[in-house]
Amino acid sequence: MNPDCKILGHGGMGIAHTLPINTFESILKCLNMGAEGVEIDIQLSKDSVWIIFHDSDMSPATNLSGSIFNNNWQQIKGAYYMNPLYAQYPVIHADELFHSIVNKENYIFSLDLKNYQMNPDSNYTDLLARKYTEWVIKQDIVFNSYLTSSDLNLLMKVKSLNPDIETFIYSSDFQKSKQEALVQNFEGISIHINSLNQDLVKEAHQSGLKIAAFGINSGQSNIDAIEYGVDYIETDQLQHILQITNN
Amino acid sequence: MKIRYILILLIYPIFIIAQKDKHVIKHSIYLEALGTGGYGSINYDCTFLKFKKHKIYLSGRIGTGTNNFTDFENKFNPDLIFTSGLYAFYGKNHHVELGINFIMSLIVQYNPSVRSYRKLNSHLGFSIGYRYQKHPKGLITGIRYTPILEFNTHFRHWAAAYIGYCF
Repeated sequence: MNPDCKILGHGGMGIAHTLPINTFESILKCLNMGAEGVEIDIQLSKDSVWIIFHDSDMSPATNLSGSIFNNNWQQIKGAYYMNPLYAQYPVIHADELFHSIVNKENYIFSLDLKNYQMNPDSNYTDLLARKYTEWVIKQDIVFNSYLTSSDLNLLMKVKSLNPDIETFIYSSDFQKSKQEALVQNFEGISIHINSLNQDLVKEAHQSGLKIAAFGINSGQSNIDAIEYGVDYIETDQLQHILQITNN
Repeated sequence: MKIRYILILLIYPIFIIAQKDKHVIKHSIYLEALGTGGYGSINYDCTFLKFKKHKIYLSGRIGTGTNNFTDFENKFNPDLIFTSGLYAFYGKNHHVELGINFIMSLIVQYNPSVRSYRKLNSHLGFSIGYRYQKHPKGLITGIRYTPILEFNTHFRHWAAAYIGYCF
């Protein structure tokens, strides 16, 4: 196991848990169980509020419909998740989440910035980069968070605004992402566990890049991620990995 | 609301048509997977009327279940779901069942200003199913389609399977 490896809950307790990902309950439970951090999905609302939400549309996961970027917080704040049965866990404002995490400086936050604008123009990408940079400074999580995105331009703009913000390029092709990360001085690559092996992790490390692995939804993939020596394990099976690593 | 009235209209004729010929008290304890008790529940069922001539009997049910045993602080603090219902069964060994359930949920949630609180809601459930019970005392098992009018506003398809003991 990589001695610097950090265990993060995917969206909190992971997609298979009864608590929906990206909710207060799921994220706080993950941190209270002993995870070293959490991966969360963030989107910017129409009135520039960071909302913690995964999908491109609020339907069918919640009682509302429409995209986050097309709605103001006042409209979004009435949204709650339709699962599990009988519960109404709300869609949350990122500021409220970070206000609720006690000793947030002790945790790592993987921030997956979702941009569902079909044809985002350069101005919109500039806005996202600027808002993100301001927000991580305001939350005082510059040095214990990393930004993940598939949008190369967005990552480049964030990096140019604040070189201290760690940026990870989302990868479907390891070699291509490695080259982009090296050219743009990104800190790492975010990649599905099924696209990884021990040699690729070693290759990334030799190039000075970190690896954040996701798609870890079974006990075996927890073990694989540990054996590969990745830097961040964004797991859906938190309880299992905490047990086997004695955290 | 319409569905509620339809169910009452469906169950009510059983009381009118059937001729009560015997008082029978039978008790059952059963475990239900999914169903109106959430993801799982433990239930007590009491058959209080039997109309032998028409192979119909009526029973009441109470049960409790949960979605989670621990809360967001990872402390034992289960969600509480209470379900109660009235069921009509038709048949000798193989029974068709029809029922209505009233459900109360107390779900543990987080709020930035108060931190932990329980959100109380009520729901209405329906049940159409099959029960197998060969002997008056002994094993009972069954499956149910249990649609739920969640918060009395949202309709949700749901189902259940159960196994228990009648005594």
